[in-house]
Amino acid sequence: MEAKKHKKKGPIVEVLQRLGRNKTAMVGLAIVIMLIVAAVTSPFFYDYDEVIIKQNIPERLQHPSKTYIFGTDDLGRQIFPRIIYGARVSLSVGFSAVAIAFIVGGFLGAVGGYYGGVIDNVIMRFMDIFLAIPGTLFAITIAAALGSNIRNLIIALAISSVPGFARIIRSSVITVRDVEYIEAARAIGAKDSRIVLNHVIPNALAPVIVHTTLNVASIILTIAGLSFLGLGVAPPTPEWGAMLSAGRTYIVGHSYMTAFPGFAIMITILALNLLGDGLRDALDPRLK
Amino acid sequence: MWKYILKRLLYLIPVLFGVTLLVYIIMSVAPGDPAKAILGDQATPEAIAQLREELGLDDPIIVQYLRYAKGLLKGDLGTSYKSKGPVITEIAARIPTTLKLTFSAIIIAVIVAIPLGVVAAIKQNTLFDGLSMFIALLGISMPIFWLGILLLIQFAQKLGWFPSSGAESWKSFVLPGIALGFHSMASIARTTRSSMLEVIRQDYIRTARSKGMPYNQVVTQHALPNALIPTITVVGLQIGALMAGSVLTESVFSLPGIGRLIIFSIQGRDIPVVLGCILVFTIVFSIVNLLVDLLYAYVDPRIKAQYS
Amino acid sequence: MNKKMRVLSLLMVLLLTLTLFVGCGGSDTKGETNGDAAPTDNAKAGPAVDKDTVVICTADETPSLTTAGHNAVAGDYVNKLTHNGLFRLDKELNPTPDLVESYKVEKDANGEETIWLMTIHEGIKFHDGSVMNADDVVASIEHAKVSPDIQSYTQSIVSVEKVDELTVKIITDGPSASLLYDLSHHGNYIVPKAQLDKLAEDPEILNNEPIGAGPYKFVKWNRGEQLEFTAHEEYFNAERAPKIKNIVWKIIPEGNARTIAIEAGDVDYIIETDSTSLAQLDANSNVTVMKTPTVSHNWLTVNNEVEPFDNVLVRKAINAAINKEDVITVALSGTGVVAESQTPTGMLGEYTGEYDAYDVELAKEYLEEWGGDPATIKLDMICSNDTKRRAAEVIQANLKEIGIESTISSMDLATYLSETADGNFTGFIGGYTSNEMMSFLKGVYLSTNIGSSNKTRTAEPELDELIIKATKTLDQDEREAVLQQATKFLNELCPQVPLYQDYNLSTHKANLKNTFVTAGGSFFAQEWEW
Repeated sequence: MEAKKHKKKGPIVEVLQRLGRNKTAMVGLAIVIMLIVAAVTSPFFYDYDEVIIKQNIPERLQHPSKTYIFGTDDLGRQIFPRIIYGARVSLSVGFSAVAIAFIVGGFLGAVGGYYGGVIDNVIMRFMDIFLAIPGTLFAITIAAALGSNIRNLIIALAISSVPGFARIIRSSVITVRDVEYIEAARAIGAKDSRIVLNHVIPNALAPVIVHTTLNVASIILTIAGLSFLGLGVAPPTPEWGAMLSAGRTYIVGHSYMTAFPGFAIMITILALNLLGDGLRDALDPRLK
Repeated sequence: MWKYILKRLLYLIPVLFGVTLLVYIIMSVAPGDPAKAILGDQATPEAIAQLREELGLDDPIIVQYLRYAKGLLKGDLGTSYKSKGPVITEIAARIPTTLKLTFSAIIIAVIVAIPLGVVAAIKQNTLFDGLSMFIALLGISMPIFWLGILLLIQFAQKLGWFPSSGAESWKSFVLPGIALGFHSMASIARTTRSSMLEVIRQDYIRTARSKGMPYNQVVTQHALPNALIPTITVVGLQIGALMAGSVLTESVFSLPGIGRLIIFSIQGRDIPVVLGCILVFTIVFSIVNLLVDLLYAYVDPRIKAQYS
Repeated sequence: MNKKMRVLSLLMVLLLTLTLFVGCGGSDTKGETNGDAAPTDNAKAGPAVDKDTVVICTADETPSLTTAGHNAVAGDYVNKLTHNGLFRLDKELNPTPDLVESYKVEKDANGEETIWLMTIHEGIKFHDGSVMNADDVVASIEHAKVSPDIQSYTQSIVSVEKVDELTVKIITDGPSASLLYDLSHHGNYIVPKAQLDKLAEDPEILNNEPIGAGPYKFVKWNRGEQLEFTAHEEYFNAERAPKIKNIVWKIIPEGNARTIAIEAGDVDYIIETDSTSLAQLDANSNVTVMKTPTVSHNWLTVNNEVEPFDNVLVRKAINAAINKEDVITVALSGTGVVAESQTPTGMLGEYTGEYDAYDVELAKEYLEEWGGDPATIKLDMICSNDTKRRAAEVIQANLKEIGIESTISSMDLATYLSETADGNFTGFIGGYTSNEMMSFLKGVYLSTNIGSSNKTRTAEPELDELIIKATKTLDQDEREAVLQQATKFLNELCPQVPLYQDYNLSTHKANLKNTFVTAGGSFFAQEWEW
């Protein structure tokens, strides 16, 4: 009976169903979707030049009120639209850094894991060097060295995330490498690249999806830390970490300047974590 | 097993050279001339040229690195560009602070996290469970420096319970320990909870229960020791995160540790000091990882069998 | 499950509100503290103070205690405690004899006044008990001459030799109006020859065991944390002998943390107060904030070698377009004065003529006269800290008004210093602090300093001549006229966009007496009293 059910639905539907049953994960998913919607649509609601970065010095440091829902910052800009717009910046930096790390790390890990031997050895020894330095510290070093703008920030964060992806994909690849259907594919003469792309990678996806979700979260936190050290996103871009860091000197008396970007970061990371945990549970039936 | 430890330690040596080479290259190709950073805004062109010469900055990067590596082989970490004193004194003066900070963070995290995780697991799906896991999630999602500043305002400035800066007594490490440990606490509590959940579902726990053993005793004597294995691993893995977090924590709480030193040195392009700090971090990180692996092998006989 | 979720979301909302109020409460309770709760706080700042000690806190740690081994402001403060120079700057920034008892200038064979005979006080004791003599002076100045860190302060000295036990002869490269200022700089402070002789075997001796004749003796240095000093009982000048026995010198890099430290009563004196905490500190009756206008001159520098900033009309347009009041409001929370000239005011030779104030219409006229399209102007402003970043953000909005799009780049200090010295920029927010006009002009505008401190890359032979002439003019009135001429020339040339001269913001507990800060930012810890 059960086996029959299994076949009918297919793995993706099943995973989604399991995920759907997990209430906290659904809350996480809902928040993430809301953030993505905010990120995509914010330019339609707020004009970047006229609202997001337009200064109004006489109205600076206004506490939250009916006119200014979240108050105004030290340059008289409204905090609320900047927070909404900030979703766009934070998420795009987070996801693009992870995307780069995934492509580079995934390639290195897949190649190493699939071929093994000397190639694997060289790649992994190289990765060991990267792994030996705590990730955030490495990101700080690179960001400081490259100088801070969004592009360099993404590169720095991506580089420090590469080894993690390489390691995860490598171990997933190794576990599926010698499974029968891969051998079968090889036997019928499929090319290596085709095997890796069509068979090995899809099977390694589960842990990667979970890792990606959690990695975006940790990257958003790292950006906040980098901003604190003066290595974050350059003004006037409304990035949450930069806003949080810029507001810290006004924290006594004008705590809303830090509170709102801080909450934005917390809620985002909370949501990504809830979603990530839910995905992990849903993708790993052993736990159910 | 000793052979394995030795192998791992020996393997650390090429890794360390790899790490120093990597960081040396990054720091050298980065814009920002150490000589100008040291001499500041008012330097004359001749002074800059003279200092570059003295520091050997006009040589090709690889020559500079080999000179550094040669010293490193003899255990010499070089001379700080900025203070002109040996790097080893700069670092040695700051290691205790960072160790104390990391230690207090781990202690605070473990003391809070393990009971939280265990009780949350036992009372699964109750309000307590939900609440403690929510606190754990907060810990994961709150930027360290923000938490740090809030703690400072509340407990140092307003209540005056703890000093606002410095590293003189144990009191100085309470707030930084909380700020830094909160994040780790969250991970440890979550891991403890889930491994505890797994363990209390096992047959032998049921057996013990059915024999009439009191529940508390079952938990402390049978379930906990087994549930702690994954927790230990997570604690070990947190050390790396804590060291990186120390950079921010030390800045917020004005603690004179390695984390703050490395930031100043990166900003001042004091390459020998940066490398020295990175080496310390890397060595501690690697040794902790080794210890975690060994501990893991010790508690899991299957892994132990592989190394003997 | 559903119920749990509801409880959770409720909790979350509660918690978020709570966090919001931790900070907000700060301002609220602050108000109360000044009213009802004041006595308890007073007890902390008042009688409970240890009268034998003053705890000073500062943002930056000195790179070195070696007087000739750095040119850091953080180090200058410390050197002033432990060492003295032949001269020192008084409260009006004029050089006045310190170790020197008497001096005279003599003419050389060419009839130029280049020979300086200086006699130091008799019986000046170093911290180790030894007595200072001419050998120590000669050795110290010769040592300073070979140090790259302070080269600009030793350039005018050609040689120094001993005349008798207490007298030295200094030869300058022509008449020098800057020698006495140079001798007041920490780079030329006097250290025992005995220590210099040991340098070969122990290169760290000056840093590890700094010995001078200054009012305070070095006790110890916990790197990254604090330094400790104790009064030099045998200080040579009884009038200027230290009154408080011990100094603890704490390093607290975060501005917030310094404010918290003084409000919590952990420190007694803050050298650099964050301007953003000013409202809060002003409201606190237990502390006093000293707002001293300084000679530190801060600008938006544009690269005069890059098009279109090589055109004086473009530079003048940018200068007139920037609302400097707004810059001061945002960057400094109002603690500064609008710069009125290409050179600072408040020192000999100041001049404010031929300089445009903020006037958007005038800016537009300049642009029209220039004839180009403002949209083609590409200005990137490099900033190396939060204050500069805030200033740049205001400028960015101001320039948009006249159609110029600009960007802001944050860089760490090292990159900032290199890029700006090498000319790899279109613009940056910078500044220069000098205690007198000659070294300001030399540093900022002399063509030979292109590639280092002349960051506008101004190369005007006429200007160079005026600057050199000033440094060789010993007569003060004549020198003033030459210096004013130089500034007039600069105001017409408009090489950069002066923004403000900021205030020095030092804060101390209200019961610390006799505090004073000069326009150069120096203070005299030996005069303080509880």
